Amino acid sequence: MTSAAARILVVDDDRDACENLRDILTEFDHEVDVCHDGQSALCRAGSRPFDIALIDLLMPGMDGLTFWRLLKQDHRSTVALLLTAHASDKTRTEARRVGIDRVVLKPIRSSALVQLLEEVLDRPLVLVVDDDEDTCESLWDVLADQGYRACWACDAQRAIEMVQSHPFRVILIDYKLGQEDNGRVVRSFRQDRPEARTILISSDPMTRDCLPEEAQKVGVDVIHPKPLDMEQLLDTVRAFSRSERNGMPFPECSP
Amino acid sequence: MTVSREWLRYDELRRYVGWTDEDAERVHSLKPLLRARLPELIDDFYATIEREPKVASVIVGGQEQIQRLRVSLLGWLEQLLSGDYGEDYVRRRRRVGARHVEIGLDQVYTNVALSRLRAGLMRMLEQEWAGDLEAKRQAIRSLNMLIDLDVTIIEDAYQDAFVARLQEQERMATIGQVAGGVAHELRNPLNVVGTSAYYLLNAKSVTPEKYVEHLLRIERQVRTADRVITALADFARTPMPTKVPFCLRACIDEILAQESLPPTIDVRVDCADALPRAIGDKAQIGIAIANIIRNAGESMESGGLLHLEARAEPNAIRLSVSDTGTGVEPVDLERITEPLYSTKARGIGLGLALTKLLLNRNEGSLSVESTPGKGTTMTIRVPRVPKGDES
Repeated sequence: MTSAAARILVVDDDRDACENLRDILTEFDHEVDVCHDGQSALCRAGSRPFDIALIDLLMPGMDGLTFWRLLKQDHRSTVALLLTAHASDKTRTEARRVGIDRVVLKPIRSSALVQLLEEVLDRPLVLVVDDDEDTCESLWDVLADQGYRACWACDAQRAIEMVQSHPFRVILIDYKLGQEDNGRVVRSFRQDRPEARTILISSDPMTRDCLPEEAQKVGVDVIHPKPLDMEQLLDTVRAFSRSERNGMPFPECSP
Repeated sequence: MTVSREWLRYDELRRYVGWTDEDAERVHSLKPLLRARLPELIDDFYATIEREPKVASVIVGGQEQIQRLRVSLLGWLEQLLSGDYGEDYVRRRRRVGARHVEIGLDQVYTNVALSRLRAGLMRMLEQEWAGDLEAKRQAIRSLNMLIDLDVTIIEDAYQDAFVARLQEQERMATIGQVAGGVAHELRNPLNVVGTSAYYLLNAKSVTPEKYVEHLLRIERQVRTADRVITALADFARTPMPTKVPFCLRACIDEILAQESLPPTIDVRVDCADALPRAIGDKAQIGIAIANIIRNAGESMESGGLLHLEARAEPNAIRLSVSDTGTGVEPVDLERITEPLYSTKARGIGLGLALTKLLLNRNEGSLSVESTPGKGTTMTIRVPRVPKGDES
């Protein structure tokens, strides 16, 4: 067992299948919560996020994909795996569209599932903070596709709460310099997650060429100007997600 | 020598158009006249094909294939004038139709191609004929009759091959459908069996309680898997019904006692006084009614009203089973009695199909009315003991 214990949600109307997953995953020190239908799982999820959700596709009432669409609204860092005995092309396409990480076919191979969970938990957590929801969703899609556990927040309060509850490695924040509130947010990140690296996304032309003193002071590591060059941004995220804060010098400003 | 079905059919068609041995003689007598000019017809035939993209597209073997086809067309024309219209003649004609289904050439092209060959033969006959006009008229009539018969048997063979191919495709589609449905219903229990085995083999320390718990789980899921296979096997071979008069009311009471619906469902049974006895296989009709009641119960997860009403009709007993459950969407309504069609998260989709099958076997019927969100009424009719025969 290399990765840390995780919080895992199992939603399946087959009680025996749920109990077996509970037994197996508990062996690997994970904390497992079991629900037999989507509605009660949504209630159970509450405010404390799950790292991984194992979701059965066909359940009476709410099916697995509908459940995930609803859960995702509040639990964006959760990685969803869809468990099903039969996945048509239509199901696979729909699963991809709503951001299911992987479709796992039943009967599951337990050792392969355990390995997959380890691999998922090893993925770095990345947070996107932007008041524009479309920007957040686009970045989420790109980051999830690149193998990150991505998460987003559209306001300062939610961002601070998320940083407190998740061990983020990288935080991307849309930051308007001079706005006192944003400075407070980044300072708060620094305090709660000193190991996280912060990428400032800015549309302010003054900040294009180097990192202003003001931003450095609150703890921003690098600036990426808007419109974003995705290749460059992903390079930075990759470098930051691999490095320890103290072990690596601040990268140069983007050219 | 055994006579083939195909030959008998040809012979029947010949009688129908009034074909005689004299006709055969007349066509045969054209052979010396037309034989030398048959290659012209073949040239025209393939020149026409090259201008028709849809026909040309099915000839995928290039010049080599066309050369082979020219030889077989010449054989076909020579046989037409041979005077010998026996079994071999029929077999070769039918082979043309069957082959066209194989290569995907529409029958219409055979019809127009033969029309073109016919026109060519007639043109040559006009040019080569030296005898008297009445004899020519008769020869033309006989040749036309033979070509019409050719078109008919080629088309007949085409139809046979086409239907066979369609049935094969349907069979494959059904196998695929069954495999999909069965796969789903079997993989779920297999999943539990597999994960229990993994746990028992790999857990660091298994308490005796856990050990028993997992074994019981395996046993339970094996039973589930077995039920799926039994349902499928039962559906595939439903025994012939043993039809005897029986009391429907008693049958309903037995089913309700067995089904043990949850207490949240209010059950009301309204049977007409002195309801005549039904006629049929009590066990089979019982399975049909039990399936309907079970479906109704499952559609009322949070409770509701199940209302059974039995009435005598002149030739049948009508039993309607109404629930106040989720109802069925109109799009599903047409299909819910199809085998392997299921709207449930779990289920192979055989319940209502079996119900319908059993009722049909017992000369009964099933009809369904439903309003989504309001409920469903399933009405069955089974034969009754005739008036005055009640004893």
